Amino acid sequence: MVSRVGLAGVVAVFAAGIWLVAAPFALGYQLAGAGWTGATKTDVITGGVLAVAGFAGLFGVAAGRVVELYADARPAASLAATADRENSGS
Amino acid sequence: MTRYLSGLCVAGLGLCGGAWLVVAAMAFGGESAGNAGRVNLLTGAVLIAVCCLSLVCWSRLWRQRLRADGVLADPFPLVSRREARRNRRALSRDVRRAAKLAERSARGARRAARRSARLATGGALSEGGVLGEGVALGVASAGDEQYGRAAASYGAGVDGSALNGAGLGGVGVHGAHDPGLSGAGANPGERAAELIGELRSMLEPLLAATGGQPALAQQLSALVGQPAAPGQPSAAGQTATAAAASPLPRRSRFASELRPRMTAADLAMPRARSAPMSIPRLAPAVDDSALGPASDGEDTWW
Repeated sequence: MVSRVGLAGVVAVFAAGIWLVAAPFALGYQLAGAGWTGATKTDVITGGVLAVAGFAGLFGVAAGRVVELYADARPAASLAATADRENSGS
Repeated sequence: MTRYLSGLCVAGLGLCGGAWLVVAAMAFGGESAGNAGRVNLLTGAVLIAVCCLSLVCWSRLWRQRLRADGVLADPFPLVSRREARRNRRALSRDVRRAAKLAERSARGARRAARRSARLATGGALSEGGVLGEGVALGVASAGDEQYGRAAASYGAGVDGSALNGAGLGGVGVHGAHDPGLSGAGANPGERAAELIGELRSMLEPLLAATGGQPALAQQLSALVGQPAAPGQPSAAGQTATAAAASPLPRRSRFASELRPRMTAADLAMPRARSAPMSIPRLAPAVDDSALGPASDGEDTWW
């Protein structure tokens, strides 16, 4: 449960970044073809940073989980190999 | 560890981004920014809340993992006062119960020691106890039927003083008359003496353990015939000469003072003492839970 909430937070950061980048254009307070206002620049830059960070965070969380799975599977695999060797030897 | 760090970093960065959005909306645009300001404010607030929650979750997860790996020690559990009181009561109850058990076992051990002391002083010979059985069985193993019967009579032990006293006297008589009695070529009297010697060596620690009780010492000394105090007369002074002439094992200088000085041969004399012998009632000690002084052989017994 706790890990899901944490993962949801990372996803929310990524989604907030995407939203911030898209919000000036989606809500219409940045006109197409006109120069970017200060608010638009703030939103796009902040949103971009948050989106990249969120994506990196998601990637890091997934990669860390995979590394843990590998680390957990290694002793089991070595144990299984040892048992196989003993069985074949006997 | 990678994923916890990633989650924490992202949550921290999101917190900073949300704070920046709130500050930017308030400082640089405010209400004049219109739609953009409201979007930034709302997004920033939500981001701050979500990132705070995410930070808490990732830090908890990481701590759990560190605790599971043994890096972090388990914190002391927070116990309410009621729970603490209950635990304290349960602990004291357990301690009381353990003390009672220990006291009971010590009492039993003391009782066994007294019984052994009684047996060693010859009470068993007139009561069909362990010592009598040992003598009878030891003799009966030589292969003679008469001694087998003697052993049976010792085992029955209905009429203590008369039957067993006669039986034990019979051991000496038959041993003297029947040369084929001893299987290993030993005199039955000698075998009995060996048995009694072994029993005495086994009972030494018990007697030493009971030496710490003055009442018991007095009664034992009265039983054995040794004066408990310089001014008190001896109850059975005739045993000294008999013990000197006896072929039984002698006392070593390491033996307890309470060790019986009466030998089995003395006790085997049919009416050397008044029959039936009354088993002395030991006066209970003032503090029954107090153990006597420990001897070297005590640990091997309990």
